[in-house]
Amino acid sequence: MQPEDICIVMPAFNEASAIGAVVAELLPHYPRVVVVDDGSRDDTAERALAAGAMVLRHPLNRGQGAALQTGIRFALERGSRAVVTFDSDGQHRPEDIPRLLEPIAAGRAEIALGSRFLGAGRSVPMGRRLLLKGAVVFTRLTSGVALTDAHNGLRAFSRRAAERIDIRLDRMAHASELIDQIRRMGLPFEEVPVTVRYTDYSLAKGQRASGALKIVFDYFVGRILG
Amino acid sequence: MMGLNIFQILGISLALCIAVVVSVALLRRRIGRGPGVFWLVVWLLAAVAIAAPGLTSVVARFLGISRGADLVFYLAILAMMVGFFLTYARLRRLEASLTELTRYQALRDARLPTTTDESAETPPTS
Repeated sequence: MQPEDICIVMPAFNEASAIGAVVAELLPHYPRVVVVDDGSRDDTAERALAAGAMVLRHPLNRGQGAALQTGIRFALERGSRAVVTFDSDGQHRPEDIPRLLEPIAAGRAEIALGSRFLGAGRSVPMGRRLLLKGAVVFTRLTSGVALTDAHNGLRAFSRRAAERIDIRLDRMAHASELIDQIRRMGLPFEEVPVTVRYTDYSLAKGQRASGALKIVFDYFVGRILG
Repeated sequence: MMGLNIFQILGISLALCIAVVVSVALLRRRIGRGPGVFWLVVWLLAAVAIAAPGLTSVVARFLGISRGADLVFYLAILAMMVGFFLTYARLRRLEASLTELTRYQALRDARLPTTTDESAETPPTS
């Protein structure tokens, strides 16, 4: 797989201060970076464009799940053979991408999920750790899939998988929805160790425990109402 | 027929007026047949229940509820819950449409940087 075959999809909401550096870090290795500006009120779109990314702009804020699905559709329209989703706040490392793509290129998996809890020496702050482990247990109970890190935004999809995945929960519950779809469609997946760079910035923008309740609600409503 | 008090007269008039409005809408096909007939029946029953409150008690006792007013109260709560659910389901469909529309516009108006090797794919700016 050539670098041009890979499309990096980055959902972004009010990330003007971080987005330029994240795009600049990716572009030398992956020429196709698409930022989905999810109705930001700052100049996220302009900064991303100036840094050399392709930019899609949601005129209205529709949520991270919606932005991901928009970016994935764009990547498919442009003929990408693999899609990598990458957070726009600088918490992911471009060095981890080749490891995510490896199982897909080797034909072992259609989807690779980044996990910050696999491998040794992972420094995840305590509050984050508890919340994320709660999410892992939740996924285990609702989807029946045993993962070590259910809510990591760093993932890779083969074209075939990206074509089949259809994220319909617009907000944050999309992470659980995605796991459900992977299981239902029987798509082979692998968890790959990745490192999350925790900064004051990314921690401030991350989910809090109160947000988790809303996510659980969205998820169950989505399961019931479809 | 026993005399009606002022509240009954007002209530019955209101219910019958709405029933007439619904009938007209139904005849002119401004609302669907199912919902039209449903609301016509609801408002006619409301008029009957206001005119003869004792009737609701008869139905209530038949259902094992002691007072007619309680039956009406329970039915009202049930109707409200169904109403909330239907409204919420409709809101979700609306949100999904909104997302589709937003996505369509975002994909249509994709902006490509002019400085990278993607520039060959940008539309000519003549």
